[in-house]
Amino acid sequence: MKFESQLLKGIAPVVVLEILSRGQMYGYELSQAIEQRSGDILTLGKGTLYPLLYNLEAKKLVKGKWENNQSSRKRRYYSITGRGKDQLAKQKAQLKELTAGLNLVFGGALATA
Amino acid sequence: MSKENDKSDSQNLPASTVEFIKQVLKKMRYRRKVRRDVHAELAAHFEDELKDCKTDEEKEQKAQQLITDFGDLKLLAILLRRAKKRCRPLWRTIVARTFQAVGVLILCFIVYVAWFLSGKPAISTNYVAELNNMVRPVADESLNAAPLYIKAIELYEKRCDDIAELRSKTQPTPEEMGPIENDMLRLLGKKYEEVTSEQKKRIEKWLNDNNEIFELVIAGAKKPYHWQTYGGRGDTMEMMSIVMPKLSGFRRLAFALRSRAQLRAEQGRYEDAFADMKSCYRLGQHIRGDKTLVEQLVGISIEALAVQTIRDIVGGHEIDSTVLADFQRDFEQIINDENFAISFKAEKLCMYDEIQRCFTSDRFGKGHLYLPRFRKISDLAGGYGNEEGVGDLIVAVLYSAPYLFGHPNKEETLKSVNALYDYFEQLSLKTAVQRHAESDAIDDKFKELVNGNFFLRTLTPAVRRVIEIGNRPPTEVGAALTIIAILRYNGDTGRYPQNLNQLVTAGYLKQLPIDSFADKPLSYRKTDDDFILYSVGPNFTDDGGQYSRDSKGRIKNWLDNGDAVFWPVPKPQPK
Repeated sequence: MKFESQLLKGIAPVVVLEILSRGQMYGYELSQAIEQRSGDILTLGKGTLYPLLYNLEAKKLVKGKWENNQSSRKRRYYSITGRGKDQLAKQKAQLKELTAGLNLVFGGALATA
Repeated sequence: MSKENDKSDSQNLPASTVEFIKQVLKKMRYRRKVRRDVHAELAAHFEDELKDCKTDEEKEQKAQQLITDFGDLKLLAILLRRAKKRCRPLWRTIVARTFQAVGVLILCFIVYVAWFLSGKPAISTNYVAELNNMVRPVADESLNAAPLYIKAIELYEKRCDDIAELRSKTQPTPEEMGPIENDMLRLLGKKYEEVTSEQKKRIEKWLNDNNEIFELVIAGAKKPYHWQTYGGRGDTMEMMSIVMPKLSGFRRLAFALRSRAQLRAEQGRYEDAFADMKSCYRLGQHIRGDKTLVEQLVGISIEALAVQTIRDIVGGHEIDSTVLADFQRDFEQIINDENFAISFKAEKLCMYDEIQRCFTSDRFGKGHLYLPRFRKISDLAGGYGNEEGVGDLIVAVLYSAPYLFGHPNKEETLKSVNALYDYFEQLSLKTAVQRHAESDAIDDKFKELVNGNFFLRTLTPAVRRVIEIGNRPPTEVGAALTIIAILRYNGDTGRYPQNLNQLVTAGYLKQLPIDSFADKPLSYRKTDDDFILYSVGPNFTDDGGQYSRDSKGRIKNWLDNGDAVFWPVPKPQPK
């Protein structure tokens, strides 16, 4: 399902932080994880992924470092920072409150079965 | 990450992917290290996406799909660049912004300089014509002494073979000019007591042979007015370059008149000698007036020459009281109502002319200093001279920069010039004593008026010196008349007066002669068989009639030591 870009705009950072909170990943791995863990509902455009990661890195919410993995190629792994964890917690709380409010508005229609 | 890594990053990727990544990085336009990191990440991402493709066609197809997923290439590059810029450390941001700010300032400065230098002066007024209007009285040309004087000068130069010969050479060497004995020009310029008997005979012959010259001068001296038409050099009508009408010729005429007067006095022809000196003084008077400063100074020097010669004549000869009385009467008439004050009107016109040439017109650059003209003025002030080469030009521009950008503009300079010259006029009306008492205040005022204005500081004449020179003539003239009165008194009574008041009381003088440097009458003291008459001089100190001397010990009035002694007339001194 294609979502309105404005809807996803605010979501993307918190989604990335949530996934990185479970372990460090490199770019491709992260994009795959987002799709898988959202049941293919959420997809992060390739053109958005790396700019988003660099912006999060600039805000010191994530940090990147080059590491060798099983293949010969070095990859840049991103991991969440302490500051990122605080931001994630804050945004998750806000989302929770937002969801509750929306649920009330839509008469519980947003709640999953 | 090195270039080799870049190549190895792209090794397993299809050509379209490699090209895509290359274009993204190219449009990103950022530091090489950052672009390499991004290159490695993108290459790794594509490799991971394409790792399950079995054939090259499948790889290529998927690669194309991925490239489409990445979206607009340019937008991606912008987003990546923007995001990476946010990642840079604070100090790097500060440095980058500082360089940008400096670059903007430099650009603004260059634009400002270009705008600044684009201005040009607008010459709207012909001040030479204004000067000509100013010096010309409302009078018929027949009342003008100038044509007669000019004719006399031209005749003089023509008749003086040595001058004609010298003038035919551009730069005659001392050897070419010949020994001084044969040079009439120099002979006439020497002091009469310094020439030999033989030379006196030569002078006498020449004077007699060229009587026509003196007739012209005498006729000119009888005219009420004198004015000449100033002209510019070549096509320019710049006040700074106006041709001084025959000033050196006037001085030569004065020297010739002096020689003739002294010769005549030696022959006992005192009336004729005095007649020559009256004409000589009148010549000096004619050159003065509301004219340029240099002309006024030449006029003053000719008047001083005449008065000095009168003193020499009366000091060197026993002259009958009647002859002295006649001369005194005539001379008093000549100097009656003479305005001895220095006029700055012509100099002011010169400043106005220079302002319109040295400052841009008001349209561009708001009337700032105009660099080419400024350089010419700087050369006058001993500035940086003629530049050759880029290095010297850069130095010249750097030298000029503070003046160009910080100098008062045209309007401000014009105001300052008016204020300055009004102040000069006030100063010239004060006595020397008053100016001496207010010396510090005058210095401060002058500094205040020219402060920060290089134009004014460079072009303003040495006014205080000029005004002080202007204080001498009334004192010298008063002294000459007083000496004649004293000699008449002595001739009539057989003794010298006890004081100068006796001369006024007895009718030998109309009024007491004022010493301009003391604001009181000249100092007079009777001695055993003579008298002393002197001014305290420019040191404003009464030295009791001690002669002032130059660095070589020669007696010379108006120096900063001793007094200006008018009597006794010093005897000829050995060289």
